[in-house]
Amino acid sequence: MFGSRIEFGRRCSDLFIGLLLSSLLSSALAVADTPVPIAAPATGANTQQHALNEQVQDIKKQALELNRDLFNLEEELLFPANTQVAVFVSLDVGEFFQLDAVQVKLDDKVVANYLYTERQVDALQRGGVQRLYVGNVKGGKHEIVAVFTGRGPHERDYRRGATFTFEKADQAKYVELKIVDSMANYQPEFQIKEWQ
Amino acid sequence: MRDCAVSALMRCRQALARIALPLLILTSAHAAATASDSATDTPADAEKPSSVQDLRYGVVLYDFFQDDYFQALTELLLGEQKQDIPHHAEFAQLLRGGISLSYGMDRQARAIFDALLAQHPRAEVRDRAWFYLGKNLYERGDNVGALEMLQRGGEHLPTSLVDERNYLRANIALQSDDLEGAGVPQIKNAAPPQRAAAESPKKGIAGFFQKGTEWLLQRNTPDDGANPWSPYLLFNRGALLARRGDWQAAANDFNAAGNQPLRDEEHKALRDRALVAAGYAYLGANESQAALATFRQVRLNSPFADKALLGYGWAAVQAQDYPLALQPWQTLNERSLLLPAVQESLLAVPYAYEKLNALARALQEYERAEQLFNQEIARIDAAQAQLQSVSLLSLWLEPDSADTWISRHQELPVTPQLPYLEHLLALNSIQDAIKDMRDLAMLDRYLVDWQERLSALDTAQALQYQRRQKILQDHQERKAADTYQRLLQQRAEVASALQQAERDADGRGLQSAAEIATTKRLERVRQHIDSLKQSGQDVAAAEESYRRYSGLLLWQAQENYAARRWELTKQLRELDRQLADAQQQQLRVDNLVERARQPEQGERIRALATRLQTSLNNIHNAQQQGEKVLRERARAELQAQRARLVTYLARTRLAKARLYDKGTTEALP
Repeated sequence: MFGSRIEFGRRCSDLFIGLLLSSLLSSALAVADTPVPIAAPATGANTQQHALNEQVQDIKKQALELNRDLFNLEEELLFPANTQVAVFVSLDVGEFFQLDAVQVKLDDKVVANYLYTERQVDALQRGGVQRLYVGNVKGGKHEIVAVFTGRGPHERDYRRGATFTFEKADQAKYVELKIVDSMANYQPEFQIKEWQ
Repeated sequence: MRDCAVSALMRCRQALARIALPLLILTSAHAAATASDSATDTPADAEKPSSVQDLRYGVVLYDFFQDDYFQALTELLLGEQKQDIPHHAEFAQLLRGGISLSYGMDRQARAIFDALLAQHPRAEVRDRAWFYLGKNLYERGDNVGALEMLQRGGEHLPTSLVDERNYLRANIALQSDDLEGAGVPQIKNAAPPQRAAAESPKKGIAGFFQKGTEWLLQRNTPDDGANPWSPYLLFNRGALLARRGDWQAAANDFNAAGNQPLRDEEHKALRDRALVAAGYAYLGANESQAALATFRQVRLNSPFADKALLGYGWAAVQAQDYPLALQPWQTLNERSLLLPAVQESLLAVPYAYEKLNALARALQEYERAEQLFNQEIARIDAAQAQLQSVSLLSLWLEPDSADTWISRHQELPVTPQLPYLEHLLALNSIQDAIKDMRDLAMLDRYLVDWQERLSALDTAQALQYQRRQKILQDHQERKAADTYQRLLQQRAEVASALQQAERDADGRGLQSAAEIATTKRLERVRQHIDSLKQSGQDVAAAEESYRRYSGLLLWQAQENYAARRWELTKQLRELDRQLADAQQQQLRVDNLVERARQPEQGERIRALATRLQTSLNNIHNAQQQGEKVLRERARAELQAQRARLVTYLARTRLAKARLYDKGTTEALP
């Protein structure tokens, strides 16, 4: 009787090792991660997730179109073309000037004061254009004064202004404040460009 | 935390791949812009290639470079509607495809690329777009779609991407359990896989795998060393072989993966993982010495050290060296119970004592294990209860992240509440689901904000409408006293007078008021003289006087004619100027009135508000669905962990019973 118990115990012990080993093996192999892991076989949860992703894609499309239409409405109501003036900022190369901030005055009134993060400056340096200000003015002559603050050549503090006069007509007026490297004198140049 | 090092590196790599396509398109756009500029440059208006030619395109880039995909895509939609990106139209579309891909809108991306890329003049752009699309579909588990993309073109991919593409195709073959064509490497200097596939399309995946995989595994380039994908592929093939029970072949693949040159932390981690897997494969093949030697090579600070320690112990057991087995297991016993290897070591230690015939110590360790397993099961039960009561996203996303638009490329923050879900969180499918949920949360906040703005816009438009009505009313009143018509009348009169005077040329047409009165008096005098003459009176003196005065009057008119004509011409010019001003004013008023006649925008706003609400409802539904899916996955994961612990607990109790049973027969000390 005792002998059979010991035999049972031994069998249990061997089974125990076998179970553990198979568990360990599957554990070791289950973690077989790759840079693009082998996808798990399709399961109910995966199917649900796939359906959810499709749903989310539809929602994003819907939200984007809605956002576009809302922007259109807002622009038409708050900034109609006959009074709209928009100021943009761009940075061409930007080796001679590290932009920190821009202040914009429209007809001697400060309309925008903007401090830039590193990421925003990087986006400008890579060709991005920032829509800095959108507002309204009456028809006729107006003056924009832009003051750029930052670091110029040799890490010196740099502060420069640029002035521009424009005639507001019935069309929306777009003005681009451009910071350009001048290779002629190794200094930054601040230009203002009027877009049609 | 164990697998995080590798997972983080992998996710980082995947993130880079996601942004690679839009960046490629941009690079391509700039290259094309440069070519275009150089072809049309004139000294006067030459623009630098880096300057955008359409402001809105620049705004899109500004948003895109800050990973604000939603805003960038909105600007592109606005540009398309307003047609104000004429110079970058094609690249704007391509960029839209790329950004859509980054923003998780695969279907839209694919539709755009399908429409545009087939005819794209640059084969490099085409091939890369297909590659990244294929990779994206693969990551999402759509192997059929992925394979379709990965089989398109490819001749113009750089070598590194050809390798990765072949790796992905081989993985797809592995997933379909297609190992027959991928035995021991036999094909030397095989042709590149895309050519091989083209030559024998009927062989399909198996055919590709036979040649492609071996080519991939064997390809070594003198400049960059071994193919960076071969260790992963070897590992995956080894895993499949092991699952089939071909331990020796699996161990060979794992060893080969582990012996690849180490280039960075990712490869070191993979090497450790491969060594651990090889060790277990040797265990499966009953080669305990080889297993011991393999486990020994795993770094102690590796994320896989716990599994290696556990395996080392089992290899020692297989070699019947129980004291040696106890060393790594006791080390493991001190580590966190969250690790499966530690949980198993709790059972392994008393087993070794039992084998060393230290039954009392074994019983003591089993009792300790039982207690710890019970505690851990209780913790998992608590975690499961927590899972039912709190928002799943709040467990996985930091609350602060809600305030900013987090890049989809960033690592998702993991809250400490549920360490049990870490393994789940490392899965691509879960990561994608969480990112989708995060995007939905952002959209929700954005659209709720629009609801408030829309309400303000409604108020503004109502006020504007009132003002417009007033303009229309004023316009009606102003019409009665319109000066324009009066000026026009005046001008006509002056012009007519001038014309008449010029026609008569005797100056009478330009007489002053006094002269006209005198002329009229003279006419009356003439009539009086004529009637006196008819009655027979002598009117000679009177006639002489009349003649003299008439002559004087005519002389005066002729004398003043030039000055008066000049004066009239000046008047006419002044009237013309006033008329032009009045005309401008009239135009402005007409424009104002035209705008004032615009219908009330309330209807439009109400329609938008309805769409907003529908979108928000859809978002909330999807969020609920997402919560359900994630909760189900989390519940299943916790359940699996609990089941494992319950199994360990049962085994512990069984072992205890066995020991007690043994104690009754062999007398426990």
